[in-house]
Amino acid sequence: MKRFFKFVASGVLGLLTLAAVASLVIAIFPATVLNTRYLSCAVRYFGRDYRPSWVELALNVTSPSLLTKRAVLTARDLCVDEIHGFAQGCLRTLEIDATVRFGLSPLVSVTRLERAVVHTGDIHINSSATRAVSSKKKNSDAATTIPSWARSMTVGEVDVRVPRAVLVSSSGTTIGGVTAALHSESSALLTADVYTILKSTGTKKGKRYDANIAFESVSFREGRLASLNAKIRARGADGLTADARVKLEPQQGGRLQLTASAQGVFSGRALEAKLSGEGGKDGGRAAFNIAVSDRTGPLRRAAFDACEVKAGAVKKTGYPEYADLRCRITLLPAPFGSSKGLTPKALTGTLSLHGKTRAQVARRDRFETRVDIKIWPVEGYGGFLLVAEADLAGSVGGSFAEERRIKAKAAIDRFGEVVRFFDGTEYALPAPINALDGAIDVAAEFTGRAGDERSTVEYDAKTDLASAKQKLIAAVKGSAVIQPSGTVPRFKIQSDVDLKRVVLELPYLELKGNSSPIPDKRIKTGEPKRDAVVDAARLGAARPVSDAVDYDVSLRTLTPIILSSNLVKAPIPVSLDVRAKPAGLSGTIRVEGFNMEVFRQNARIDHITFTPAPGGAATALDGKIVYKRNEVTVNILLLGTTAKPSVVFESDPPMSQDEIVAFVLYGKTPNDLDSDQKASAGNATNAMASGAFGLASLYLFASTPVDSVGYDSATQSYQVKFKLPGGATLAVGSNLQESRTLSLRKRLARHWELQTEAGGGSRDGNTVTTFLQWFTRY
Amino acid sequence: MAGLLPYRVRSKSAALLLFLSSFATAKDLCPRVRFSGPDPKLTEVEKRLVCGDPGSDSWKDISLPQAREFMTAFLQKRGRHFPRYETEGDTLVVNVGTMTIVRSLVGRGLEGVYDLGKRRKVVGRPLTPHLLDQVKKAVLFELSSRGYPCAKATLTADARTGEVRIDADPQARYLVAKIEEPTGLTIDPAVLRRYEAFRAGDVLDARMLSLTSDRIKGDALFSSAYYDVSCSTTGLRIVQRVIEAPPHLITIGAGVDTEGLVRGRARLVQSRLGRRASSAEVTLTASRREQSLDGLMRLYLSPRDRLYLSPAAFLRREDEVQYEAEHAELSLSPTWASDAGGLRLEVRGGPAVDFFDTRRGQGPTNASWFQFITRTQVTSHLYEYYQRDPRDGWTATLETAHRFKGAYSDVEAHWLRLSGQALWNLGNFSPPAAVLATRAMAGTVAGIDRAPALSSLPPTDRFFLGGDADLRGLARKQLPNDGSGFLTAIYDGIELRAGDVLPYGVQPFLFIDAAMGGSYGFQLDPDVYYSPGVGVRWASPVGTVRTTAGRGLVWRRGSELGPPRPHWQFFFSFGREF
Repeated sequence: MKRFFKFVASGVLGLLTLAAVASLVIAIFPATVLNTRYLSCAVRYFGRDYRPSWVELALNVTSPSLLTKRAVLTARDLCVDEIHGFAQGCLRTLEIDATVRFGLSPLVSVTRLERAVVHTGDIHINSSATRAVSSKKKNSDAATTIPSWARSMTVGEVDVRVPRAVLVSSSGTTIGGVTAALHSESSALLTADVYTILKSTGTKKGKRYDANIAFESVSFREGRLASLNAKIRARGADGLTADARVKLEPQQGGRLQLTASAQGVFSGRALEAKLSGEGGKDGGRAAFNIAVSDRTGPLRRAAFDACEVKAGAVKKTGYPEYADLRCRITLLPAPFGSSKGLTPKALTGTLSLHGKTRAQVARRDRFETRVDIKIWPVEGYGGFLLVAEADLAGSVGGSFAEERRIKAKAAIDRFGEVVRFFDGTEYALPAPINALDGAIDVAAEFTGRAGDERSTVEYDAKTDLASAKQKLIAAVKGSAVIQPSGTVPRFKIQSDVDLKRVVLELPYLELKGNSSPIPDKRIKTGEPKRDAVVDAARLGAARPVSDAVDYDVSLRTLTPIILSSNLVKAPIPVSLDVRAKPAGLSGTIRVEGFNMEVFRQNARIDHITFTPAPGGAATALDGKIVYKRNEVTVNILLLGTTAKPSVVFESDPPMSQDEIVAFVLYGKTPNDLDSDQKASAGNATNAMASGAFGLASLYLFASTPVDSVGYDSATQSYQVKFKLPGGATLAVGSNLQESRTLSLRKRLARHWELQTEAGGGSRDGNTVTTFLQWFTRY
Repeated sequence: MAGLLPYRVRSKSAALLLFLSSFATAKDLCPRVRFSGPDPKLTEVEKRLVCGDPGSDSWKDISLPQAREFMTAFLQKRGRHFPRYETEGDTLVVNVGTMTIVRSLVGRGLEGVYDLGKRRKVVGRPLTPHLLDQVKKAVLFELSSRGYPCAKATLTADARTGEVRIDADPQARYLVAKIEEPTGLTIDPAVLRRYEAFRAGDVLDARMLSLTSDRIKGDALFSSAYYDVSCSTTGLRIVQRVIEAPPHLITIGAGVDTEGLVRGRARLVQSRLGRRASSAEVTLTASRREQSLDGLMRLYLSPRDRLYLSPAAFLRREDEVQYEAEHAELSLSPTWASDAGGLRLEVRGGPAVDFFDTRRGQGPTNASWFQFITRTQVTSHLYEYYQRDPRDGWTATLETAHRFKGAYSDVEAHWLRLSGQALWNLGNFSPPAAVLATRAMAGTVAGIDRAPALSSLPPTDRFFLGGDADLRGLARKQLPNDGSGFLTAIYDGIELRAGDVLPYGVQPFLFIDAAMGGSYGFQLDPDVYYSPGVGVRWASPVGTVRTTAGRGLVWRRGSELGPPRPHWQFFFSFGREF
């Protein structure tokens, strides 16, 4: 056993020695491995899906010292043609001359980029094509910072020419080009001309944007941040004009002074920013103003004024130690309404930020930030107040907001003032809500980490609103989960709405002439949302369910909602227990018991339950009305759906449907009715059983004395004549051209009728006689 | 302008509407809402919703966006789908926009079942939610008339193009199968089978159910009748429901008959004689031309059977232009009826004893005789269904009366009369665009010479022409001029009537009637009498009113009888249909 271990140990030692010798040989003579031949093989093998080809490809690595190597890579007409069409193009000229140094931290760094020449032909990238190699997830934070291997790099000569690069994606085509040059003279500027043409899918003409950047910096020569003078100028479509200037000047004691300004206009929005400050290794301070104005948006101006930022750093390491920011915020909403409109008052507030690093294990690389925002109006807005707190934590060198917890609270003390403020504007609140006054509180808390697959916002809101005849006390609690998914994030909202006490007044209604105040959903007008609803409502149409927003909102009443109407003397209690999901509404809407005059007699509405069915099916109806008259109890059952309600009658003592209808309509048994009343009772039974009456007609039917009912079962057309107070009559019907039986008999008064009879006598042709007649049956 | 009128207005009436509406002046609906174009005339409820209800704390202030939403719905109800809104301070200025007129009606799911091109009164009308409801109902009615009582349909429309679209699912096609009978009747429920206008296995047609219900309601035995048709996942269910009426019905009334004469009538009906629901009725009628007392019984042999005995008697005094007479008859006629293949056949025949006394004119005095009378009638169900709004179907009736010399009759004579009507809904549009109708009659008295015929046959058995019932260019029973009556006559009238084209149900028509008469049986005189003319029909809520103006003309071909003087004849009738 001992010999075995000895054998293994000596073997491993031998291999390590061999590896060390090989590494030393490569370190001293890198060209043994890093040469043109191996490079060609590596490019062919690893890049085989890109089918690389070249006229010339060469790598020459020299070794000025043991840990410093100089690599010169040259290529002529290096072309790729990805097998799925993802990328196509050629590097006409590629020359990279760089010096690399090996160390401990970082392991490899580029100390000098002597020459970088990149000249391309046309490059074509189709991002919608399947890529041969799946792209790895990019670290967005790393992309925004200078990589550690390049931080001390000096630059000699740069010559980049990309005349035309075409990027095709599902949303459109982007064409761009860049020309950048930095000559080797020490005083030369880095200049870059960039252009981009954006073309949406289906459009022929694109939008072109041009930018010119002039960069004067000794950093390129010295490998450290010493001074900078940069100018950026951009012009293009949508009225883009932008100019920016950044100046970094060295001060005494190794400190730097920074001044920057930017101004620009794009799509009607204007930006203006100024910054001045100074700093060194131990930190710095700066003052800045930023203002964004928008001629058309709901927020006309947002400004951060008199901002002061102070930051400290650990002198030895340069790690940030703390940061403080104070700003004054001014928000100016757009004027509401039209010509007269209201001039909205500005909202002012403060923004304060305090951040500090905290030691994490051995290094002070955790940075924690507390942000406080408080916004309140100059005056008015019903005591509106918005308070937001954010706790952010991140790592130095990475994102400062890897962990986020944001809390916000908004409150309105006097809702009535808000109503009055918005009155006459596009944002005016609708009746009967606008009659309410009181307080509203809203709170939300967001927690999440950068890179999380999902973030969550939890919120709750409370209302305590009331008016002389109305009340709205409700609580909302829920959460929204935000899930990044491609370019559009997905939202999953879950809410519980508890209606604690709601009293609402319904609008004035009449027995006749009521119109739906909601536009008919069957008629398209060109408004996309509405048209989509119309298309989805068609028989057999697939109902699109948006996957961008998934919601599950439950609405409950803790005590029934009380509705009052001029048509019903008693208040109407309604209980809700419904859930709203993208597939539709489910649950129950239940009208609780109350007394109401039905068929000229006090009756008890036991319940009327509406059960919506998800998926667009009709809402099921289940109702019971208890009607008592002369020792007879009649249960009127509402069944079917809201679109086609049917009525079934039960009685104690038991009677047939026709007898019950005769009893409730006229207070008599069928034997006591005249023929027209009997026919009316029969027609009413037929019409109600077959769902010919709508709900509104049923209400009218039950609440108003009925004179006569005509019904044609073939066409399901009906005509009901009601007796109105004062002796007037109201005819309500759903006549159809095909209906031809409604007017055969016209009841004029008790025992009097007008009857049209078709005669069968052939000798006088097709005779029809109309009689005004008195009649009786026994 | 193109934006205001996104499509060409096809309908003349719609164009007229638009033209008239352009003259309307701007009007303040209320202090906060003003119309800058025509006033759409909102109802009180609509006005309170748009302007605010001063009597309600909660609804007194309507926000402008809310008022706009309400106004959009109310204007949509009036066919205006593109209103424009402006706010002037606190005032909402509403330009109601142009009215959208339906330009096309298209459908899906109706292929091979119903041709939407036959649906009129949609294209050219203002596009409103109510119109969509009507079209849906009409299409479902058409489907239920073709065996699809459980059809489903959704209606949508595009206000930009004026297109109305119906997506239909006819579902299963049903045949007449089991119908649940009503319960709790005092009569045998099988009685209801007598009235059925369909047979088991027929394609289920809602119109035939309705026709059956009409037949039942027409009988004094029932005051209400209908079929409850319901569809569910288990299939179709048809339940018949009726309400029995008390058996005795007394009516006393006055009416206007088709000749514009006032008529009084008293009637006693006993509609429930036993469980077979046999019936008896006595009717007393009086008008200037006729006073009569009629008695009739229907004695059914079994509840379900359509065979019944019909003993009948009448006493009648007639005072016509050509004669005045008293007439009595006692008859017993077995009658049988059947419905099949969209037709109703009724056959009646039996002995009768008549008494006739001619007081004025040519005819027997104090004469009585025995005769055998028959009546056979075939009527299409569609004719019967649309009898009160004629547009389709046909009917034909053959009546005979036979007297045999020696069989309690002084003479032998055979009276034959074949008459009929047919109507065509031209193009099968619904509602009809035009209706072509024809009516015809051919009659003769055979087996008797003219002289004995004039003395032995009552004037009611001879043929007089003229009047609203046949030649509308002549006065009632004006032909023949000598007042003796024809022994042979033929008549045909053709009428072309506009359908539902003009507003308020007014229907103009053209007609031409032509007739020939003969002084002997099976012989016609050469002269042809004809009457072209025009008329107007109005289907009023209580009955049809018709007025005609016809020119009585003669094509002289050598008849011995002198022609009537050409003149314009006007008729105003109430209730008569062609």
